[in-house]
Amino acid sequence: MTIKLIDIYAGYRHGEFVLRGVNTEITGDTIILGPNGSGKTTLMRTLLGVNVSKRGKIVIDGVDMDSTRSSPSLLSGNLPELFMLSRLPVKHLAKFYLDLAGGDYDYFKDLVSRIGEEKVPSRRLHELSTGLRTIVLDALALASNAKYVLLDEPFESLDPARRVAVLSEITRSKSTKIMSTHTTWLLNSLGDWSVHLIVEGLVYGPLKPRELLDLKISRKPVEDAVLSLKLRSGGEVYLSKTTGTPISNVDSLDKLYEVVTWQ
Amino acid sequence: MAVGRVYRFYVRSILSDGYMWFWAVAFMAFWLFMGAYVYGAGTTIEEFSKQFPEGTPGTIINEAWSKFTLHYTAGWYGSIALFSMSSVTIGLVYYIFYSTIPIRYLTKYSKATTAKFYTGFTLAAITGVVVCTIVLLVTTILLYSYRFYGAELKDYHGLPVPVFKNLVLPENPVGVLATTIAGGVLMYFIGATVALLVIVLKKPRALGLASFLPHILSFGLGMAGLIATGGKVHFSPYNTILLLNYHYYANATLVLDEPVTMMWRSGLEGAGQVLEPSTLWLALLGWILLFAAASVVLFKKQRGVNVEQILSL
Repeated sequence: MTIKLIDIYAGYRHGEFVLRGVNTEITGDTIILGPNGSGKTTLMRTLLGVNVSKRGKIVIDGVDMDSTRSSPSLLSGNLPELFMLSRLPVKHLAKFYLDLAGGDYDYFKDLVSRIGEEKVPSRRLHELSTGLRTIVLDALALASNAKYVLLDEPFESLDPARRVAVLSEITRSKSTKIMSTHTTWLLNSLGDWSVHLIVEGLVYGPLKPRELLDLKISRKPVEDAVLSLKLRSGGEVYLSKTTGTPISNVDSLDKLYEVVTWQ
Repeated sequence: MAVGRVYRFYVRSILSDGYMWFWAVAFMAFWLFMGAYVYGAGTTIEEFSKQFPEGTPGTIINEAWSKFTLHYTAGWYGSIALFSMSSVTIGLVYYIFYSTIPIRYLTKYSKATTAKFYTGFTLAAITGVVVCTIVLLVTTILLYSYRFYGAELKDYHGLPVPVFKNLVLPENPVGVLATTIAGGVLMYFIGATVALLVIVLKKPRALGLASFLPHILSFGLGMAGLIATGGKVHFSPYNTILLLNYHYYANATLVLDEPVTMMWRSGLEGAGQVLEPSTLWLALLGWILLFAAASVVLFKKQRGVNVEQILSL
């Protein structure tokens, strides 16, 4: 039960890749943490097979993703571009997708009514607020009953209560979840998940949340570095157990973002 | 099952599209009205009978009037049905273009294969075209029957119901339906060719202009064949639909060198080179095969549009 990414380059414009040679393996519930523009969404699109420019190989459960065809219940996602441009109410869009993907519409309806609003299924997707749209897209991914559920920024534009409710549904799901976010507070609730860091198109890890919080950040070379993050500028940021500013808790994890963003 | 699911989704999408109902039905019904009451304002049986020598029996004049109104109605229905179909194509271009990413996702991670997906989509497009043209056909019959023959209001259980004195019905409704279905298939493949061409050429910003090309061409070629000229223009993909609808509606003799509006007279006089409907069917099928082949080639060649580009449109 693994997803292997082998030397993945992916992007949108000729020769300019956002992902720059990603080699990693996903074996269980995973959080992909990274600042804006680091390539989280591009990584999700690449895993879902909807990116245009791609080099390298993705192997899902031993099968090359490029040769995967008509495999319902293997992978699902919450990216808006995966869903048809339609003026139909959400319920028709959801039934269409979940029927084809072998998902559970009743669960979807329950989820959007409970976490969102009762009337969401009978409204059109583009008429919903950004937060409610996020809930619909998350619910579509979760209700598909896929083996791997890819959630890109699943808490975007959600109020604090709904964030907790969505997180609770995500953790209850039996699928293997791969969740990209730049929200760090949730690490406290996901102790047994793996964390991958994504910085400027390269993926690092995996680490357990506790291991990550035990590390220290340094911009100077460190001999016992657990991870060294290679920046486009040519510089590196080192994460080690001994030298630098301690991350220590999720609030100070934001320091890492500051270092890699404002290098 | 996947074909049925895709079909139901797209039929619902197409038939609930307000733009389609406005442009392909309401706007076309407006032109039918123009044909009946503005362009045909002076066309009355009294004016028509003045063309006959004095003393011509009324039965002959009535028969000629009946033929004339049938051909006039058929000409308007043929052209309006064509313009309605090409209006639907504008929407189809957008549906096909914006479906490329969802299709890539669905054909990997759902029961839908590419073939099943496009079969369902094509059938839905044909249904959309057939529904629009049936609404326009009924509108044509009622409007032109009332215009040329009038109606009386009769009391039916306390409700006033119009009873038409004569209905200008199509002579061969099966032929009209067959032409409509073939027209729907052709329009789908023209739409697919245009949308996929935009993708292959990597010019997503040209989508707006490109989506109107089939409609502009249908209008230009259709009007040329309707009122301006005959000859080769009748074999264009659009004119074959117009002519076949005209032929089946009025059981008209098709004359190659005449525009449609002149065909009824030439047909009666036996002048000009007769164009067999079977020749038009061959031309229409040829166009369908050509655009279907172009769609398949372009589909295999396309690698999709960048997600970022689609989202930025």
